Amino acid sequence: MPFYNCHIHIFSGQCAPKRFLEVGLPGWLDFASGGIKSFLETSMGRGIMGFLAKRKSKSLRVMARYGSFASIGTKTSQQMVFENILPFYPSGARFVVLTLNMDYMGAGDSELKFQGQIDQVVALRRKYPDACLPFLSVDPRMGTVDEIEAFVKRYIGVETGGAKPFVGVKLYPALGYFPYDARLMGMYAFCEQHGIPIMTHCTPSGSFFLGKLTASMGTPTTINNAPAHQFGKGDNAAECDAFLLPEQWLYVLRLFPKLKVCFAHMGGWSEMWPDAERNRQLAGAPSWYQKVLNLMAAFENVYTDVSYTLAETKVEKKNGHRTWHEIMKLLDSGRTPYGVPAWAAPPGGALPTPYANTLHQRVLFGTDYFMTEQEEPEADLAVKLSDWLLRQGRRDLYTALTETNPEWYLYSDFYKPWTRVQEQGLARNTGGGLVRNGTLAGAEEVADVPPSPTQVSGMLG
Amino acid sequence: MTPLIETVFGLVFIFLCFSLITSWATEYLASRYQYRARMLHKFLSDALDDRFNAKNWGLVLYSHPLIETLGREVTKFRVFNKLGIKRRLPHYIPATQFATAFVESVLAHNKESVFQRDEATGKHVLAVEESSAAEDPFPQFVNAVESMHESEVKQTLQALIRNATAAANPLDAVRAGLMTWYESGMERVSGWYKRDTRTRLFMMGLVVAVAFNVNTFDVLHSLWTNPQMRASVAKAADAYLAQNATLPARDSVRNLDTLKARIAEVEGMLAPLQLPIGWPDAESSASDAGVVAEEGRAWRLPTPGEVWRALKKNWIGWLATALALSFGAPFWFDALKRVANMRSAGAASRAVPTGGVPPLR
Repeated sequence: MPFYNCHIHIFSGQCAPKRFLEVGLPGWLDFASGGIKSFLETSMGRGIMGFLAKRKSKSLRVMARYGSFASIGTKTSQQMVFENILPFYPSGARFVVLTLNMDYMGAGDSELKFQGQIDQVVALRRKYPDACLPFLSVDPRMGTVDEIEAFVKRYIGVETGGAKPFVGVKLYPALGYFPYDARLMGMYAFCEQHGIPIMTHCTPSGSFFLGKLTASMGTPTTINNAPAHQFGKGDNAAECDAFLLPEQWLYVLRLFPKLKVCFAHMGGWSEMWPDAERNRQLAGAPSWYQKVLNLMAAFENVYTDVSYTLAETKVEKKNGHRTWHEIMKLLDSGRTPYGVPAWAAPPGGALPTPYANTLHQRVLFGTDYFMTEQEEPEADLAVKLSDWLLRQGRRDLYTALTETNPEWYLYSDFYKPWTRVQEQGLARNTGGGLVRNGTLAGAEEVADVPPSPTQVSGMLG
Repeated sequence: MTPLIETVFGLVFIFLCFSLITSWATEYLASRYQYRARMLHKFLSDALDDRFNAKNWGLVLYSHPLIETLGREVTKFRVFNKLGIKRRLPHYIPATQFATAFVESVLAHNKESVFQRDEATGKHVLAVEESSAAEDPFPQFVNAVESMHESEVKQTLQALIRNATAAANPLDAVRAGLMTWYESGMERVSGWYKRDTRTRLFMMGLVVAVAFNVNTFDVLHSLWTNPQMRASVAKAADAYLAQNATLPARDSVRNLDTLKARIAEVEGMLAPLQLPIGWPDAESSASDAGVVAEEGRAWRLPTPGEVWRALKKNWIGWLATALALSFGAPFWFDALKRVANMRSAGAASRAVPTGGVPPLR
């Protein structure tokens, strides 16, 4: 079974708007973001970013995080960025490549433009049809509900003789939209119907909308009567967290309960450990991490991945690698050291958690390459957690995290991973693709049952 | 007239020497930082930016193998792949390759990529595409263009299609049209590059003027008032012209070691002439700030303090030097030859005849 990295980025600097770096710069340097982006293409620029990434100051490290993007991304093509990661993984590894439409984030146009980014990724998939599994970035501002659905269907689906190049959808709400925006409804219906996986960014840190947050952005036409949102007077970095809050997805998931969504980054490392790097008090409210776990317990196809949370290794060392222990416990028992905390007051009322026993089946391995490159090189991230699990004697958890769980996440009507189809566990659900049984994947050895020819031709459409 | 011509001759020779250093250094930086390649890249990126189709055709072209392979260089540094191939922007793209890559990129615009699972290995592969070698690709090209959203790029391509429909091989005619467009664009890019080079020569000339402390007015004064110096400079210039019928190739300096060696050659030519050029061996402690001792000058980089102290006295002279050096080495080489001819003509007219017609009284 191949190794899966479910979360990598390969967009080059040409894919990002010139002012993209403003997300990581102090406000007074915004005017120079274009020039700084050019400077980061030089050896000196990269060296400085590498130095900053190791500083204690959070703002310097945030700046360096985006510097790593600029220094890796601007110097190369998407193909080169992708090829750079291959040597760190076993032969036959597969990578979920996340495109990102940054043309609406209020930072101007990108050089390449989004269609150019897509075309390059399709060309890359043609060269690496098995290793490269691209996700299509969608933004509701791209058009009407029908146009967005048509756009998704143009790149995900079945074509004569096979399947189209993209295997999933990527959303990044912090760029300026709510996940419950009604323009996404057609896409959600299509994805739920065919089991197409969606990946959404879910941590307070990251890129965000750089333009002026208008009242109309807080009051889009919404799915499921989601309430209007009023933006405060804070800076965009803080205000755009509102787009990302896990509870925003309740309005979507209650309407599309079988939708397959991965909340990347487990809500964020800083949300996992409130005693570290938190700028706000929880005051009894659940953290983003707890909310993500609740959503996973409430909805059978909600996943999370460990990308980026792995990269905080410096702090982790001081704390006995508690994140790795947390991930291991989650994989092992489906429970966290704190139990599965009940979400006291989720929007829309109480949240039953019928799937609390299967959290371990929905944790995915990912690294968030190359956004973490300055903090922890991919060469290390690729192996540290898995090596640690193996040293703990938990090959089963390693297999679940890096092989079994990703296959179930990626499986759809249009993409069939390597056939380790467990006939005993198969149930065709008309609402959302395959459903696993309740057994602990990885703990049991299930014999390989190759599909029948009828199944094969059915799978290929 | 002779002292004047000799002085000019000497000054032109000195300007030639330093403009050679300026040109070499400028060319080295242009090669190192790919100025030509970036200008070409910017031209194509700006001219073919199609926001209505959310695609920059220029940048898409650069990832086409016909263009991308032009920028590959073999290197000992294995940075991005194990093959030791370093990728740079190509500094020149032949028109035929541009046109072919562009046509291919347009054809790919509408092309579907389909993937299947190989049942033998379980891996996903690109579905085999039916060979379309026998088909006329022109209708596909037209369809691809028609499927684009309305934009300047689409309108340009439609114009080329209209001009090509009557041709025996319409797609070749489209390629020819693209080549013509590209070549006219290259003429403009060459003009921009020349103007850009002039600016860079001035900036580098200023750096050279300060680094080697070449004050035009000091040099001029020394040549005018010191006949021995004037004679020795003229002799050096004559020797240079005798040895060099033409200037060295402009792009002969590709690395720092070669640049340093060339500078050392120029230093070897000029240092024995004891010109008022260079910085003192020991930092001057003269109370009159900016005065540089005549004795013990060396070709070395100055400290920031030395530059600051010398700035007030020398800034006009340095600027004049920079302006002169921005004309470039070919200009000063031609000027040197002309002045040499004038000197020769003047010497001939002053020669006393041994016989024949007596001089006029």
